[in-house]
Amino acid sequence: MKSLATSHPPGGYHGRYLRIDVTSGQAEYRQLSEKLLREFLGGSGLGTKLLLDEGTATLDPLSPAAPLIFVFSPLVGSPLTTSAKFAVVHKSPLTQRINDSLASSGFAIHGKQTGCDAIVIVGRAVQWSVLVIDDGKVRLESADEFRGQEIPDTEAMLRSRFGRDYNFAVIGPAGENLVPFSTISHAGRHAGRGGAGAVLGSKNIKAIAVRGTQRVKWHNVEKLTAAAKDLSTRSFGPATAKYRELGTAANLLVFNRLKVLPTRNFQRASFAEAPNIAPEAMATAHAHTRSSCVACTIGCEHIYQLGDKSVRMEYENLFALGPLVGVSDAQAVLKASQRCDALGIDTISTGGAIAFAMECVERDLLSAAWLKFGDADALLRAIEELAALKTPLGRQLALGTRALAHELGNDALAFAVQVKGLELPGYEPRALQTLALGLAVGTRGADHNRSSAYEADFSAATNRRALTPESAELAIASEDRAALLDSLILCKFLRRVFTDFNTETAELMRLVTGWDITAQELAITARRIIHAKKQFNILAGWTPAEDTLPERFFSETPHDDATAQLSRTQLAAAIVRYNQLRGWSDEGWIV
Amino acid sequence: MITIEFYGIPRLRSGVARAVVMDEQPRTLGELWQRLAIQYPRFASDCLIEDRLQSHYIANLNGERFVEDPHTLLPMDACVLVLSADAGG
Repeated sequence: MKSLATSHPPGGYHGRYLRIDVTSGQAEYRQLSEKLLREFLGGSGLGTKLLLDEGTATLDPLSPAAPLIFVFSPLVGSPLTTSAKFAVVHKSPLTQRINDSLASSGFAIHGKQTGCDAIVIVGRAVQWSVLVIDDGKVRLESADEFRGQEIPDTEAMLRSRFGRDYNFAVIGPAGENLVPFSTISHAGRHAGRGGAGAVLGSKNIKAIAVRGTQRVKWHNVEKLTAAAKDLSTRSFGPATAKYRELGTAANLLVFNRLKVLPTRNFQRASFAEAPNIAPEAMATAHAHTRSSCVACTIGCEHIYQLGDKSVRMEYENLFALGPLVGVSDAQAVLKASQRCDALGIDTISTGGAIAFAMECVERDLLSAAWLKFGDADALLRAIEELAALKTPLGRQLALGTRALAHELGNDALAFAVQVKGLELPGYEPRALQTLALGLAVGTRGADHNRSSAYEADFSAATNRRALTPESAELAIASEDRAALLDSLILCKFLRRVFTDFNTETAELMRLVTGWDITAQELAITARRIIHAKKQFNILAGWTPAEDTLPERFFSETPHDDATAQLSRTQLAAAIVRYNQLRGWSDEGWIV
Repeated sequence: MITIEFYGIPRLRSGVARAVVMDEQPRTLGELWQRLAIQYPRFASDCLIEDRLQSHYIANLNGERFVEDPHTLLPMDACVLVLSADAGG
């Protein structure tokens, strides 16, 4: 493989990425200029830039030429808490727009130690393969024995073949079947939403195995270590207590009380049986432990025992496989979550697609009388059919909500709850209207993570039920911070530990890289990253009509909250203001 | 009468899901916190600072409006929700 001498990369970086063509098996390092690294940092930002530079916005995301990019960051491998993260960036087969997923733990550290800041994969392997990156040396091995295997079994088999020195990123049967919302999994965490699993599967790659010894330098080790110690200490405090002690599932009961808990395909905003599936109830019937990613002091993972299986339960799993589909059986929700994880499918999109289908059955648009809201067995059956693609209904569910709505016609799109094809997360936008704006304009689609605008709605700074053009500033502030978090990369659950996020993270970056980076520069960087994502989407065919919410949210209120009304006019005005503040045309074009 | 509903960490710290203040209704949010501080000392030490909630927590009136200012007037028979200010999921 052609090597590339890196002459004095900045601290935290190798100064190069590894580009692998799995058709030919050839790999080469390509240089990353210091200017580019400083402008895009790493993670989501660097991935977006690399994706743009590959010039593939118009390609079929499942074609051999379409890249799948794993991106590390300058903080990976540092002593900073929550820094063991990586981004997976690609064009989404679900949305046909840019997708950046994040996942955590050892793969980030060991992937970076193969000697690169990112791994770009193009091509399609001749045979079903494991892509092995061993300290920068690349080879393909047969993955025949792993075909059809679920994720936990695949990981166990990979460890048996390769040993514990390696870390793995794996797809399940859903990724093999190119389900457009299938995931890439590492150590029980998923790069979910948007179908990264399908993209890897389309390259005939079942798994990526990484091992490496190449470490980067840090600019100021002594001060970085002290800063890391201080950050860790703060991360044990009240800012993260919710995640550490209760997990994200703590949202369930309070969202239910506030009537922002989407229920039955967003027909309702509260779920009478919510206490049945709350973490408090789950913990009485199922053994419960906590865990954390490598290099994380927060420990947000709350794991419930289901027979001989361990199930990570997050709020989004709970909402999507519980209230959204009307299921109130805690055991069934745990089982559904476990199956999604094992098969490698995104839980939000899975729950969203099934909930949509359940409503279609109610409306006689879909012939599957067994698929009813509230039927736990039906939920579990639908999940299996969706991942396997062996039945007509399974193939329909696996299209995702938007494509299925188009297939069914009859105004089904009105209640297909998605934006740009990405199913909505567990926040009722008619009652959290700053988030409604964030979901509508987000480049990834309806993504609460990339937006984070619910922060404004859960504050005294705004009236959550009345969107105004001023809401745009709040939506932009949270979106910019999310872009930085996803590019630095640090966990979003750390965000409230910082008093002045840009100032404090600029200092961390100075200690890591040696750059004289400032808070203001980071603010500009965030904007640049958002701009680059928008640029990709425009090249991929974005039009202003995509930046909206489904008709349901304008023409209906939740059945249990007649005051949760979202005005189409007000949302449109807020979107115009958002675009203006972004420096784009009123419609959202880059000018 | 003021009803207080605790969620998440405030519930863990107070040890109760719900409390009621019946005698001499507090006029303001700040007065309510002072009353609760006496009854729920661990809630006070972890979630309050002087006459307001720490920044990691927030109050909501009647399931509608989020409020922070300790001078916020409490309507008669209000229900005050206390929850984490971080709604990340």
